[in-house]
Amino acid sequence: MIRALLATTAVAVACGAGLIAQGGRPASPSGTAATQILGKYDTSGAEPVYRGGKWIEITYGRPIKRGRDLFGGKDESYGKTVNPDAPVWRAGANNSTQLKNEAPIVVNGKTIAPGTYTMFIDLKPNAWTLIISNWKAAARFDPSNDAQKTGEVFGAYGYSPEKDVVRAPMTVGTLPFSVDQLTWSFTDMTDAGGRMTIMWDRTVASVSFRVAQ
Amino acid sequence: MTTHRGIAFVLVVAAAAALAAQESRPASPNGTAAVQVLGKFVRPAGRGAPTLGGATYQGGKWIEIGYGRPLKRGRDLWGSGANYGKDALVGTPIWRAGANVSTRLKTEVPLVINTKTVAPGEYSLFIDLKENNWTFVVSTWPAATRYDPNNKEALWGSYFYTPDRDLLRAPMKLETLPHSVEQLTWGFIDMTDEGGAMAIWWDRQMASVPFRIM
Repeated sequence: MIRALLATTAVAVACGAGLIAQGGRPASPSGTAATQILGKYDTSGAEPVYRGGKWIEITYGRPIKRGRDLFGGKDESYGKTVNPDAPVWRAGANNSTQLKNEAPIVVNGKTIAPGTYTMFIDLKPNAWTLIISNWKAAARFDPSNDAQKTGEVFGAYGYSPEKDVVRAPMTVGTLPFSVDQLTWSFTDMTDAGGRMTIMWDRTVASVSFRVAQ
Repeated sequence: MTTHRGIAFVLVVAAAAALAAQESRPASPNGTAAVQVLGKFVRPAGRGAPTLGGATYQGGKWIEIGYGRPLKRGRDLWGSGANYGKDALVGTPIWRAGANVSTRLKTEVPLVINTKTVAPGEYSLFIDLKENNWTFVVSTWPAATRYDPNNKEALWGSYFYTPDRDLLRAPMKLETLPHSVEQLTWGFIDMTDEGGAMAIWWDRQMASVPFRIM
């Protein structure tokens, strides 16, 4: 236990170092992907205005490839570059990637009620699984955090599957170009649904969702 | 000119209404694309980020694009024929390639785009939209923080853009994506310490322009 705690502390110190790399600017700036559904265009004015829409947002830290081989490891070492020491990948940087939805959505048959969730990806070669979880995102790493007591995790440190809301297999593909900075996007959106898509380096992975009726 | 400004004003009021649409949350949230070049991975004693193999990346120079991120929201973004680009331009001479304030490039290193050197500094980016022919424009027009038709020193978006402050123009490579990207996205692709490309994605359209690092 003490050994684990020491290891965690070392990781925390390391995280702190990585977080504030260049003159106080985070090495992995934070970002957002946002989409709006179920609104209507009000055409009564000079220009149509979209009103009454519900937001769906993904907020995340955006790590930069910086020349590294991100997903090249084989077998047991697969995914270890981006996720060396947490049970699953935070699919971002720094604090946990979060999904905030104002409308209920359905992912892999499971309804996600409006709210705020954490998202993780279980990384296996050619088999990525998106996890939507009820773990709360801690604002900063605290090595003395007892996740079972606080219900919070920083990134994926302390993640365990019992708070999973849903797991969904992702469609994994290869891009004809390399994206330098991890990017979440909403793709193929209609009012019926769309996809949550992550791109980094030449890998693109996505999971479909529909808007609950 | 008065009529031109009058039309622009109506458009701006409409744009402001769109901006403040949803419970004061901007309809087109802000975003950035960032990369770092010319740094070195160093391994400090017992410290460093676990995701960098215990190392930290030091001495890197940032290149950043800051922009407003409009959403497709079911619209046909580009149109065709005589109407090509009309909705994106909203009556302005050139596309701001973003939303709200002008899209800004900030570079800490000198870049070379289409043989022209871009010294470290801040610039406005625009795209001249022609069907199957997009031109990337780096301009020294400063960015205004709000729309003001009397401001002769800075631009808000691409309203009243003029080409006299163009630093360079470069043809963009146009490609079609296999999926539709809902929210306008700028990104850096194919990066090495020698250079890469700046890319923009929206709907199924991708456009990119290569650059070198000096």
